[in-house]
Amino acid sequence: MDIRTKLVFALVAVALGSMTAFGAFMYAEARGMVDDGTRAQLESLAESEAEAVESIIEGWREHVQLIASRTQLRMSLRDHIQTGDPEAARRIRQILRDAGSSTSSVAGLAVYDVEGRLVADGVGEADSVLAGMSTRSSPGTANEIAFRGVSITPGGFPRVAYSRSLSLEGERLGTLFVLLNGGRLVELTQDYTGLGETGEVLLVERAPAGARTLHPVRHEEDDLEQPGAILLDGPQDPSLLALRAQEGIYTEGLIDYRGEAVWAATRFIPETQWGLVVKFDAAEKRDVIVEFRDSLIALALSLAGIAILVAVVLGFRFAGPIHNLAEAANRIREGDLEARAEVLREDEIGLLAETFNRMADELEERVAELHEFKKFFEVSPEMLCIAGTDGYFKRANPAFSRVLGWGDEQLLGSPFYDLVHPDDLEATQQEIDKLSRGIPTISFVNRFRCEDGSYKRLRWNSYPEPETGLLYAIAREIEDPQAS
Amino acid sequence: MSSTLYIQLAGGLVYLLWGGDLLVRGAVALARRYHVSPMVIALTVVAFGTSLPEMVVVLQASLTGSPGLVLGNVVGSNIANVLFVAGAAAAVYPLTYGERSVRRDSVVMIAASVLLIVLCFGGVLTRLGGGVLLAGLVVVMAVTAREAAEAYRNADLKTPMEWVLGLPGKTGTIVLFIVVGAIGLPVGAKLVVGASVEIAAELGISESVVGLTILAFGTSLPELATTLMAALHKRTEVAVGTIIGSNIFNVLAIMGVGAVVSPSPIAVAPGFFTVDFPVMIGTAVLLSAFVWLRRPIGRVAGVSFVIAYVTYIVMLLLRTGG
Repeated sequence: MDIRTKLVFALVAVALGSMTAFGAFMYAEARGMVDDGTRAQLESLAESEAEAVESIIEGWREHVQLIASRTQLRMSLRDHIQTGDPEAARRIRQILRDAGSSTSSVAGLAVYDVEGRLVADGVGEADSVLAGMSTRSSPGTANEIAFRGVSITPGGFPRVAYSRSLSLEGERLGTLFVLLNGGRLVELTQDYTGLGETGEVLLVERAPAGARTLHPVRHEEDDLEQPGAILLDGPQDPSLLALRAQEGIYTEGLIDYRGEAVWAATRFIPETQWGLVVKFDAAEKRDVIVEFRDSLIALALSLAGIAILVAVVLGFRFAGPIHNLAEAANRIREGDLEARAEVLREDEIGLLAETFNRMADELEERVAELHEFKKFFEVSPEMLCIAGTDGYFKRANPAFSRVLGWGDEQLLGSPFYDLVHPDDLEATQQEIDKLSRGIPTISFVNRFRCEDGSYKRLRWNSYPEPETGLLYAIAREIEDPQAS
Repeated sequence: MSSTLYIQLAGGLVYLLWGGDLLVRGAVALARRYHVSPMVIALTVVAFGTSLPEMVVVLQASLTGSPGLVLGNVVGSNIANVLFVAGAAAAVYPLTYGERSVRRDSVVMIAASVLLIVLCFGGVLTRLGGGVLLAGLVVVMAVTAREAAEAYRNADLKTPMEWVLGLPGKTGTIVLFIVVGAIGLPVGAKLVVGASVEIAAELGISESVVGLTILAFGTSLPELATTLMAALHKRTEVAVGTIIGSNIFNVLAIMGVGAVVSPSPIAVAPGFFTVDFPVMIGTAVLLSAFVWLRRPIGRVAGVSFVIAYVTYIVMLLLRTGG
């Protein structure tokens, strides 16, 4: 692998590794922050919504108190009870109608005597609801305002029933029932300010199957039987926790009426026995984190991509001079002794290039020297050779060919003993033995066969180099004494 | 936010180039190991491998439902190749033509461009249209393969040292190159396409315009780098041939694959017919005119090309109110 790619791999690994660690930390932090933020948000929303509900309830009680406190009403009721005077009943009805029309929050009014018989009612449509409630029970203590329940209109709106006992001068006369419009409850639960895309507030009461909302919900399903209030019968519905007065913040295991996992805060309203739920889809909160995580990943990968770029540039910077160096070495190997590496830098690579160049200078000098000696070797009329104690010529100068007629191939290709006259062979072998023991040869004469088959007498002077087993020898042709 | 998008775009482009490079090197090393002839390697792995970045971007954009990017990228790339890449290189050193086949290739480039426009006449480029483009690619390749092989045989076979060193040797390294390359390419494509789509949304311009400008420019950067390097070393004989080859491949292969894999036909914005297609044809004819007249593209022409490109980009951005 080249330096550039190694650098890229290393840098990318480091970049991705460190950014993964950083990203994981950031992700956990962000997750924690979103978590904490959502909890705080749920907490404060639940608190303010509960307060709002309580103030609505407080308003209702004041209404009831205001109507019940009319002396005219109680006196007329006493007249009616004592005398059975229809005029008194008419007066009561008038008072109730006046009270009902003075405010839009009253949906119905009725007065019953202590036996539970209807004396008079104010706003017609509600009497059946009230009648049903009055027969069920009557308030215990005198002058106490009691919450009697909620009914939902066919249009899906809640009506809240209150009762208060009526008495005059310690004598118990009957009960006032007031049916109040729950419009403000609906307004409250349908104000989605601060609730994001999915958040909602639910106000629920107990129902046989679980819980029932008192108002329409934000995410209405198409298959609702009636608009407005819906039944919440899921076993993991947060409203069940609220109704059990398990107040708190829950981020695990809750599933709302749509089957969505939700984060919820719960409150219990003791007076009305209602549950209050503020909830967000877990997905909405998760989406924020997931989006954050995705952009972290994209950013980390992108920055690692920039690291690749940096590594490639660095790699070229590092590898370039080394390539030049290798190139220069190659050119020298191919015989271009003047090739040098560029020294552009002061770092280790620069040092290497400089050393290389010095080496090349030295080499060039040596080669030049060698060239000079080689020239001597080649032009010498004397026969110069390097031979081995193994019996082979290693190198022979052109004078050998001139004198003996053999080419280099024949001279170097087979042992020189082959060329020695058979009569001189033994002496020659002894001479070589001496040489291999380090004793120089001086003026040893033997006969060598020429290419044409004739023999020439050669006088040898040789110097051994025992370490390498090489012999440096000079031979000169001498006249054959027999011929002279 | 937007600055990270540009980082994402830049980072994604780096992944594309790096991943493509790694994959090509891994594949070449693998092919060598199994004694595939270097010529076959050069004509297949290397030739196609260098177009991998564009290819994966197009696949990603097509499959994630941003086909506007695909058409924009192809058309914009072809315009950028002629006006910007050739122009910038010519401004450095005049471009001449070495290969004899350049004249014929320039005709093929115009023909391929015309074919693309004709296929888009219905307002959409269908899967069938993509198939026609790919069929065109097969024809062009069948005709040119023999020549390319010939050219390769005559080419200077001395491989630069970086290239030899860059080839992985050990099996593990080969596998590493191929795997990392195969991961890097789609990661890059995902980053680039994601950033492009978001940049389009953020600037309020269409995806087509992002494809025509930023994406086309980004994917033309490698060509720009190699051509500029060639110009700086005064060796520009192959530049025009490379640009023409790249344009032909863009239209026939990249656009063909994009249209074939796209789940729905690629819608062609009306702006393409009024501006971008004419500009693409115009630049193709312009380059071909130089080639046919055997006039080198000189410095003046080069600078004019670049000015024309900048004008075109500015016009594009203004057109959509970006």
